[in-house]
Amino acid sequence: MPALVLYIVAAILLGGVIALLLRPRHPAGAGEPCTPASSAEFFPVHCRYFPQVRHALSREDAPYLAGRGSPVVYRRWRKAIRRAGCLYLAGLREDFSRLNRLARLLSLYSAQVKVGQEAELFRLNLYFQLLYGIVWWRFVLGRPAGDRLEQMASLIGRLGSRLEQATLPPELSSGAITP
Amino acid sequence: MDLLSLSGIVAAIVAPLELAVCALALRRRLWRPLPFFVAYLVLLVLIDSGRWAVLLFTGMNSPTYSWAYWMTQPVHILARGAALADICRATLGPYVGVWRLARPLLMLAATLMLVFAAVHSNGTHWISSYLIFLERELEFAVVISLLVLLLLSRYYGLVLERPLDSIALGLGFYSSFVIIKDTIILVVRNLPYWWFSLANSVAFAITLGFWCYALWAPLPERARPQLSTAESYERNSREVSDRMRELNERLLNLIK
Repeated sequence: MPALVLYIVAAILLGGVIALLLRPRHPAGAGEPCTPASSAEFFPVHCRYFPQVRHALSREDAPYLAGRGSPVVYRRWRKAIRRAGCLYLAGLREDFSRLNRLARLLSLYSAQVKVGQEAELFRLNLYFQLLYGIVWWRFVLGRPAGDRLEQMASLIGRLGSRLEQATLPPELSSGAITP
Repeated sequence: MDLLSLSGIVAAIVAPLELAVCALALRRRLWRPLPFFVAYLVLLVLIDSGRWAVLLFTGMNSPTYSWAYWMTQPVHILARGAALADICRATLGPYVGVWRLARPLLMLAATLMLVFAAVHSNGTHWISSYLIFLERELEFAVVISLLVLLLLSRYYGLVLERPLDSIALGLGFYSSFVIIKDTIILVVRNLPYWWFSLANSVAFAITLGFWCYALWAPLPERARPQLSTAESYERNSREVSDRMRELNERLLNLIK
């Protein structure tokens, strides 16, 4: 009897996953994975707003507010800062996933794909997701990370302009990575 | 109306549906993108016509019909497997590099499931039980291969276009159903076989409905993608992975 349940559950799950994976993701007619019209989706957006975010996350504000504001105001401020930091971190992840998608498109439109290179990209992606989770928790727990965020933001920005200079597949027009 | 009569009615509905899907596939010239799928549909009509002939002459409970049914069933499943290979090629084939990478993965998934089927069904002695067992394991191979194809397509941002999406959905649905049905048959032995026959006919009619829907309207023309050179891939993907690695190192520094 356990085999009966196991097989039935497995078949239902597999069928369900297949149906989910076949669910349309884009509006009608979006058969091609990328068209020049949609290439703007690769813009690294969030890393450009780092000056504003850095200003908001400035460590100098903390002793100032702790000395002048009431504990309630200070706690509220810290909570808001953490939330902003988490949101910005999520934005950086979005930038990363755009680049990751670009990497997959490079593979898709290449006449020759190397297993090692693809495995490396896959591994890097998993690693990023893991690290992101850990950093997010550190942010939530209130550890300062403003300087590191700056490095991350400038890194993504540099990546965008470097990729633009590199030869891209014909489907991706010039200026696709950075406006 | 008793369930036995209903079983006959449903089976009588399935036969013209099979013919309609086969005719639609030929009308849409589906043999160009999916030759094995069209061959499967033609084979389906031929085999089912033969089965009906045997059924009318000898009756449903005759050993001849049972023999004819079970001897043709593996042909059905193998043809379905070939149709799935067609869908894989039609989806990923235009992207030469990814297709070269995906082909061994898909073959590995199918081979593993077939080896598992051979090992798993080794201890079964009763012939019809053995065939049901084998059918279930082969359907598992179909479902797993389909899943690998869909995961690869999703990973590379590819969308299965019409008619591939509905054909794949039909294959996945029917194979999942057969796995459930065969598992119940193997465990609960005292249920009348025509119950399963009725359920099977209904499931197959739904599958044919998916395929009919897929082929109803004229098929969209698919343009072949322009591929970049191997050198370009090498340079660009290395660039991206280097940047990703750097980004990961920055994240790691955040943790320290």
